[in-house]
Amino acid sequence: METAAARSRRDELSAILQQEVVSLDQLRSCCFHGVPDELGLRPLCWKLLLNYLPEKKSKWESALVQQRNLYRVWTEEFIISPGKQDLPEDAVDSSSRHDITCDDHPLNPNPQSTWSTYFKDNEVLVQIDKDARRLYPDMCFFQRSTEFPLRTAGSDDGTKMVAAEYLRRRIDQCVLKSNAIVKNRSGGWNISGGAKRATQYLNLSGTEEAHWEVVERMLFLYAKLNPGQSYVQGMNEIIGPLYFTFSTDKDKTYREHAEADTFFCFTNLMAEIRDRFIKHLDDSSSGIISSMNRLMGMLKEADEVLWKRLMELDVKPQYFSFRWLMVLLSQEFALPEVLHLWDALFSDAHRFDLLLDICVAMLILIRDQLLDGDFAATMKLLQNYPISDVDQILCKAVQLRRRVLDNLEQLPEHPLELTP
Amino acid sequence: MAASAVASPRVHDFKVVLLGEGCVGKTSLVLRYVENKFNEKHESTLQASFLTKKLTIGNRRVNLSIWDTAGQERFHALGPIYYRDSNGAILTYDITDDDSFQKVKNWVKELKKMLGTDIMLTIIGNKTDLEKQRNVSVETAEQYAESVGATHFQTSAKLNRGVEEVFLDLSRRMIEQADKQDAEKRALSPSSRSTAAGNVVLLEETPAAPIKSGCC
Repeated sequence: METAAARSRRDELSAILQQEVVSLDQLRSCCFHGVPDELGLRPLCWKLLLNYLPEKKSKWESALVQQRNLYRVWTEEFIISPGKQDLPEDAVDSSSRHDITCDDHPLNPNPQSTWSTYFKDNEVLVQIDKDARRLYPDMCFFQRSTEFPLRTAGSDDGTKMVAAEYLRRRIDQCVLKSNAIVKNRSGGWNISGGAKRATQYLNLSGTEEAHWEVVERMLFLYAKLNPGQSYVQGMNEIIGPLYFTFSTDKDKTYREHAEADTFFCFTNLMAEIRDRFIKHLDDSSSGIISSMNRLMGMLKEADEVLWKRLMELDVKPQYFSFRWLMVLLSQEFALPEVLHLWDALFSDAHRFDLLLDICVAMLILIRDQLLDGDFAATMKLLQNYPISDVDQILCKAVQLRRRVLDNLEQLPEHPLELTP
Repeated sequence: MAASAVASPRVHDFKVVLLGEGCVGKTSLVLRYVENKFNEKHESTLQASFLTKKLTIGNRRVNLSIWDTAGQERFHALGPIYYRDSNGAILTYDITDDDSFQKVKNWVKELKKMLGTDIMLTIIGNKTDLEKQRNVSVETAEQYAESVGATHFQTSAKLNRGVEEVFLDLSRRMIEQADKQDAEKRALSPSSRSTAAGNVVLLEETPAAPIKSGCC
């Protein structure tokens, strides 16, 4: 049963999105309470909230075309023909595009060499591969083949391959290479590594790609384009819900370009939270450790008894809030709840301050259980958070923020218009 | 807890940390041991997961607190908060992945440097169900384990092979170590009898500063 409030929110949202210039402020305050699933408007709202689509509707099409083309170029450059741009024309024939052969050679000690980069990239790729395969293991979505596989331009003999095939081959090569090393040490040649990989793709034909392979490709591109961050575990948990949302869009054209759109929205989102992923920024003001410290400071402010209890038990914020903050709570709830929660997070004008409020709310909502338990019980509660009702948590978070601002004696009408 | 102290079985609270490269099967091992479950896939571990298990060895009761840590290099810096005060460490590699065995060696070095000989080490070659793709020979691994004073086991979390034994053996060695430390303590302060009488020994209260040994 749809409540009157939900219906009016739906109408409000439709009205906002029909304007020629979408008001981000209005959109934020409307989406904060969750984008109604049945309208299929979440993908569009997120593209706006994450500043991928401009507010002016007339600019949408050109912006989308431009970004999607750019993505296509990057795929060609970094995945289909890596290193090609540095090589003479004749070194890259159609049959060995994924090989890199020229004056440069595999034993080139120069760290700038194309080969050296290629090998280093392979390590990153193998790591991404491990994680992309096991993204949301309880859902079959990521294992299924995509509706619109990314096809390459095709080589001279007219065969077209899906782009995923390039990364598959590259990963296979890495596995074979490591087997070859073992051959030198123990004398026994072991070729089964290749066979093992092959069986893992068995359910997909050469013209298909699985959704997790698309995620893998995006993460690899991101690592290539952002060498300072490269790939860190957890990025998969950030890109997963975005990609799921965009690739299940009701609009076919948007679905078809879900990959490129996800990539840019992910990039925009990461621009705001990436410092938490970077080890050497751990202790900086934007790093993960100061975020955790802020969280504990806010808890102390809001509920000193509970804070004290956690201190007594020596339950360090690292033990639970590291994951909460790093992947925006995506591992604590089932995907539909994560999407709902992210509606609110993306709608927060002071983005991700809300995340801290939510974390404090999560703690306070289970305070009685936390105050009762010993270390083990507390840890288990925090690592298997018992409440799945995201609305309840969001309500509490808003309440907490209000209270803080009450104390500052400046309470505007709407929680989202609050300034810290 | 308090009631059981009447029958005075010694209760040991041990902290055990699982370390090793990503995707070698740390989470699978511990889930197999604690919950007797196995999933082909589960999400990668960020930070560390906390699990507990109770067991009885002879007349000793053991409460294990197990920290299953994240494998990726990014999280390496967080390692110390999980292995500090640990009584045992399980260092896991994947028998099909030689790199993961090299990572075990790095962990051994770090633990020895930080904790000396106080911590009991177990090295595990996991995924023996993939024997055909083995890339780390048993002899190599066993020799290495012996050279650093660790025990070595081969396991398959998938087929439930060898998992129970790992924790049993480690628990036995942690008990021995605890007894040894108790004896040393008693020898140091023969006048204070209070530590010897059937008290519930909380090993987390052992001195934080490890006995530095000459290794590494």
